[in-house]
Amino acid sequence: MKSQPAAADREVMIQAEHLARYYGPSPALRDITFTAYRGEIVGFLGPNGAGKTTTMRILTGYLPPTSGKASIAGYDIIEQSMDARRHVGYLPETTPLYTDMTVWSYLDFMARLRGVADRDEAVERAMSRVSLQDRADQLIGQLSKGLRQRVGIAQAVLHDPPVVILDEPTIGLDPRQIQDVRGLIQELKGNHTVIISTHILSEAEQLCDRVLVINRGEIVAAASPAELRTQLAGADAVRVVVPSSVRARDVEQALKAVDGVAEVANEGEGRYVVKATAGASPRPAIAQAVVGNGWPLMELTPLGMSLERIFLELTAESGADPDDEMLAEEDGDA
Amino acid sequence: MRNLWTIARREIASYFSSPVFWVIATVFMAFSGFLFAYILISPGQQAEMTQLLGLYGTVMLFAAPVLSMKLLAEEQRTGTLELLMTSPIRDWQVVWGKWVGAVCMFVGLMSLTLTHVAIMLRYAEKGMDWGPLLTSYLGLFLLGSMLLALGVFTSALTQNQAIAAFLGIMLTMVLWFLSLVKQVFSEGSWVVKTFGYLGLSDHYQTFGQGIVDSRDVIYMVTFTVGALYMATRILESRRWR
Repeated sequence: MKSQPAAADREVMIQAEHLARYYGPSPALRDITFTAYRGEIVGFLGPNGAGKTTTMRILTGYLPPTSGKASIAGYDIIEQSMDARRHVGYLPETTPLYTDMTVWSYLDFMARLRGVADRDEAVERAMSRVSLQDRADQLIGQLSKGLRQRVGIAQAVLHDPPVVILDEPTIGLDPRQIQDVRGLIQELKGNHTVIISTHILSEAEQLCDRVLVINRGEIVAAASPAELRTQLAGADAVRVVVPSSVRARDVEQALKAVDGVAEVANEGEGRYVVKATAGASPRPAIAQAVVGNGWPLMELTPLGMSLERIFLELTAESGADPDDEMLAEEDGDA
Repeated sequence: MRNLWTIARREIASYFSSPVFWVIATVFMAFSGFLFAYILISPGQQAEMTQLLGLYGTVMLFAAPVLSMKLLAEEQRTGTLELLMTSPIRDWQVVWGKWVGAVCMFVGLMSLTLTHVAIMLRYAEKGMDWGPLLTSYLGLFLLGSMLLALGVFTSALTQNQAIAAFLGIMLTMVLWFLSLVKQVFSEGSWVVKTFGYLGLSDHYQTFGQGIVDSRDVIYMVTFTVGALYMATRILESRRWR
């Protein structure tokens, strides 16, 4: 699956240390520190206004940080701004494009700006990467939103930068276009270090090797989607369903006897929630215990915490805003 | 230089696909053609090209801010400025590149008036007085460059093209008529002298008399460079806000 290379040969592509940014007296970013390695897709996950875009703008050299430092491919974003920018491809959230240009002339213009040596080849390659070859001479203003997004992505990978930063790349697209764009992002993996921001949890789960949950200008959690889940859910939990005719006391006893089971809760109607001790995964043993007693096992469902729930919990924990906490409580089911 | 020219090239291409440019070009050609014919056929009038070029200068007071209004305002509105400012290119190169693009269009527009010169040449029995003609064209070029730079400056101030054009026209008008201060107040106090010196029209008119005064050249070049410098600083300040 998502095998991580050994730490030694993981090349650091983005290094951000204690980035902070104030707009006047109010902080948009308080303290952002993270590292991104070659070839991984890192997701910035957080509610709107959490500081995702501000972080991206700092990394791309659009905004200077109020304090803290960052480097792209080893180049300091302030001291060696031009070198750092040469190693980044960036697609802002609004997909800004010159609508009066054709796809080809626009990409050629961007290639010139980035000082690409073989422009024709670079433009051809970028267009084929996003399947826009047959739109080369069409005016950007006449393209659909999904196609424009592809032009935006083509522009970001034009100069084959080691770092690609995409701000909310799927926002405002229809479901088919969203799948399209996600497919493109997945293809970038490996060659490029990709940073995407999103507030859609399933997107982060589907695309990212690592998720940084950002809230109120701070990173409140950083882990792979799977790790994040176990980290927050604590231990594994499963739902066991047997026919309601089986005596509850027998079932509880049998389940509690299984190695690694911490707690059994009877939900009635033959449904039991079994919580494992931390680190244990007693699912096969549970199944064996049930079947071994001669009871039909009707259901054995893992009750992992959804990323949605984790997200709400994290973002609610870090601030005292009562609205957030209410939101977390309302979304009670996991 | 390469980056600057990349920006200028895009700007020039974009002018050709913009209706605003064609409207200005049409109005300018109709106006200049009319003036040319009017001055040629009026009895007792000297057929002077320099007088015409002086009038074109005043047309530019309005035309230049309209030509330059979109340069930075539109980029700010659509957000494409963010892409330019995150590309490996300096802010001043963006500003100067846009200005060069606009100046190229202006020069192209003015070169159309060479047809008038050609017609003059055809009918001028005693030949042409080339000196004042050349200085007039030089003056027109410097004036246009300066007005477009002022336009780039006002375009940096706002996301709205109409406001950029309005501010630009106000600015050029104020500068132009500042010369009148000298006529209103006859007293030669230093205030009057200073404002009088800042007046644009006096500095422009000497070119039409066949004189290239270094003070006039310095005046226009200073305003051009100053306006572009200010525009760059305004763009930079967006990063700090």
